[in-house]
Amino acid sequence: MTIIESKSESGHDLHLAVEKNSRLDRWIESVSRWLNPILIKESRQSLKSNQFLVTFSLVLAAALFWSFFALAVTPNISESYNSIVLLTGYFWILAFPLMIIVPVWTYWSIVTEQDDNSLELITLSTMKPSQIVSGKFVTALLQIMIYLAVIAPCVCFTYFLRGIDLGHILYGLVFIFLASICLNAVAVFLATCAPNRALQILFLIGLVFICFVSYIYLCVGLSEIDGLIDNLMRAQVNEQNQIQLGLAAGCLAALTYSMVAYFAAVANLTFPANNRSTGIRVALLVQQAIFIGWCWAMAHSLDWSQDGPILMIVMVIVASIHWSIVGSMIVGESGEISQRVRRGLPKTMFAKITASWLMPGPLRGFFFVVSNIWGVGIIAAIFYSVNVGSVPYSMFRPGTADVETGLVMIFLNCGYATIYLGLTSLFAIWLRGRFGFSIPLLTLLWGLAVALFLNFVPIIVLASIGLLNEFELPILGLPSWGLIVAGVGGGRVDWNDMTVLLPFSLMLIAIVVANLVFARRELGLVRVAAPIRVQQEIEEAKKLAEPEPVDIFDDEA
Amino acid sequence: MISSAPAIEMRNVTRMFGHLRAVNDVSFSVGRGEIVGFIGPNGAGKTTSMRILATLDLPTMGDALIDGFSVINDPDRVRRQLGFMPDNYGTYPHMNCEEYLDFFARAYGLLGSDRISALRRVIDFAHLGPLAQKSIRGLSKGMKQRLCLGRALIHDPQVIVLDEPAAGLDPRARIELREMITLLAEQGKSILISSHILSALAEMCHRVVIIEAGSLVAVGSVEEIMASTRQRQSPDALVEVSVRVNDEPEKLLQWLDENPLVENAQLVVDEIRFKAPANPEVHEQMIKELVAANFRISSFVPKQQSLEDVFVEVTKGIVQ
Ligand SMILES: Nc1ncnc2c1ncn2[C@@H]1O[C@H](COP(=O)(O)OP(=O)(O)O)[C@@H](O)[C@H]1O
Ligand SMILES: [Mg+2]
Repeated sequence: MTIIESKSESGHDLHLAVEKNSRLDRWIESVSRWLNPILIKESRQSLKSNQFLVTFSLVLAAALFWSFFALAVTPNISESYNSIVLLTGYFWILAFPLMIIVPVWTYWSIVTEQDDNSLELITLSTMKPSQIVSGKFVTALLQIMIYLAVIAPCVCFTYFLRGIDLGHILYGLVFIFLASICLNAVAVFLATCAPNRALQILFLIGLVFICFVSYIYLCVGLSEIDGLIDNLMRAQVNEQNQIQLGLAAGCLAALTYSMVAYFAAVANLTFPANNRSTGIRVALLVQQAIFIGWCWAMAHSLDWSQDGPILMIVMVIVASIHWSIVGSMIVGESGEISQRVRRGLPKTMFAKITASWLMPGPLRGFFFVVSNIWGVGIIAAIFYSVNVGSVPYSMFRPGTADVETGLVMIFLNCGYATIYLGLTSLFAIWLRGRFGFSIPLLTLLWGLAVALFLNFVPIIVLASIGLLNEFELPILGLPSWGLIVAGVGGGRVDWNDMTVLLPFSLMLIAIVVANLVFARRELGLVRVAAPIRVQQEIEEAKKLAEPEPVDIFDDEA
Repeated sequence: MISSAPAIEMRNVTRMFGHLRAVNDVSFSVGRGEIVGFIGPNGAGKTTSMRILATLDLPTMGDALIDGFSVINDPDRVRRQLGFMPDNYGTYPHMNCEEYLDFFARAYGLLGSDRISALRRVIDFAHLGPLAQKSIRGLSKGMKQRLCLGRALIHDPQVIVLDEPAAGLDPRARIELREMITLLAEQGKSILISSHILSALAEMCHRVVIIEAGSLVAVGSVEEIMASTRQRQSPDALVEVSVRVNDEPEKLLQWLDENPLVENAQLVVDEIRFKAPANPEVHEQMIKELVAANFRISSFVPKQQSLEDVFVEVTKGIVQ
């Protein structure tokens, strides 16, 4: 790196690091070129603010106070019970800034930048939306690190007390850290969703509520950390696996949803005519793969003959609830497919088949979600039918397990999710036809309403034919469950009684076909060439010839 | 990069907010190295149009091109070419000017020595040197405008869009701003600059575009627009004339009252004002007659049509 004369024409000195000749300054400059500009800006701007100094000093004071208080009140702190209390006290103190202050700060810093147009000025620069979001994110991370550094000495000190080992400390720190990351993702997502002051305040209240509830839950949970770790140590190898898988489930769910929220925030900051959808959809696919992988690991660690079949059904139910909610928002995407997006549409047959569902467009989105629902369904069905033969009992009534029952349940579940989503998609199509736009939030509300309504209908029908006593409350959310129990009798599929399957299947097909008819236009869009001016520029850039990284969804590729 | 496309081209841009047509089928273009004033009363749709040009908003219909790139379909390329200064903007109060500019330089991907030279160029250009270490919080309006102009220039854009940069500036700051903008145009940059006051821009603009209630009402150089408004005037329109005589103003007053072409003659302090036909030939004739009648007149000044008159003439005071 060249160091330039430090006087400018007007004789004025620049005070930036690069102007100085010390080795440290040069090192900072060479590192800072790899840092996110927003991180540098925030560390100059917000970390200098009084507000940060105040919370920082408060956390420090609380930690010191707690240490002295604990030492003074409990004379024999070295007893294991007291030392655990001391440690969890530190967790409560640490989690407060990490899980409440930092996420709220992240939210508020984005919202205020949006309000005073600064964010617009940043989006006009060559920074990508993903850089802007990750800039806010790493700033949050920096703050997390600062708070961790304050509490770390205290926590380390507890390590020398009786009854506390590394497991206690690590579990606590890791959980708080992960929770903070997730809450920051939620904060970033909400901040980029709020278009006006009223919603900004509403979301802020929602965020504070979410943060506070998670804070209380996590800290109460961590107070039980001793018991948890004891269980883990005492359990059989098999059970240990399951406890760990259970913990992993929580962490993975939180982290993958944070990932989706992150990509959704990036999409919110992306120029409307650019491709806003593919990132989110890829994130959703990754999440789905992780979920299936987790189910697979869980199934392996379980005694299949006991809980395996149920696990498969639960997997389908969880997936269809997830996709019904996410899908209701995806079908509410803007229906306008810009020229810019059309330049990036897949060209080859192979790309059309594989990447088409990932491209923007609400109806492509609908089929993306439907393929995912049925993808999980098929995987579950295969697992189920391959393994269930060895199961000696039914999940409903002992001694009556069979393959059909499970398969019908899986089919009905996926079918229901598809029908709900199909109806929501048709509603979104109507919205776009009538008003020219659709809003994900609106279609989500509609989707929830549809699901609620359609869940009451079976109950009313069954009540009218006097079968309601076969019901239990969980049926409310799981229509297929109710149909099996009530309609089929005894938890065993009797094909004579499955008359319900025929109208159900017809409805399913009708709704999918109706969507397909409307999707025709969207799927019929073909790739368009880049404008001449753009081609010119690409040619000239090629002449300057620096091979740029290739983006498969970009027309330049 | 040089291309044959105009620097800025609005093509039938319409932007609706609900039923309000904030911008209504507006088309014009700005050539390379040209300064074009974008004039209109408050609420005319200037900011809306400029936000579309800056890729901060999308047109409901039509398209706009910067250096041949569509603001709808190639916003990334547009952003590389364009420096935008919004009408109101936030600054980061805890930073100083240099840090502020440094942040945007980094945001534009300028690294190491490129960044330093960009900073230096901008600081010198906008005379920010003495302010560089000052906290932004303490800056005056004029200083902030210079800082923001510097920010808009940090990536050395070829096309510059400035939304009401002169609003709220004192006369000295206005002159400085005008000098800077003229200098930019001399460097070959194309500039679109908005204002709700025509006279604020008339001197520096090569052309002006006048917009009202979302629609264009006039495009051309200030002289062309003045000429066309003059043409539109009816032949018997009146103009105010002020005359000074070295002695006996009462006598002149009497003479004027008797002249059938003159209306409303009156003595104001040391000159006589009256209304006469705007036709210059009438004025010539009248001067001859005055001289012939032995009045020692020292000045005869028909009132010039001012820029504000033109503006009022061209716009109709429509409020949407
Ligand atoms: N976001 C918006 N939503 C609704 N109306 C708007 C919005 N922005 C501008 N307008 C309206 O559009 C018209 C043009 O506004 P603007 O472009 O700001 O005018 P100017 O900058 O010429 O003063 C005004 O009537 C204004 O109220
Ligand atoms: Mg304005």
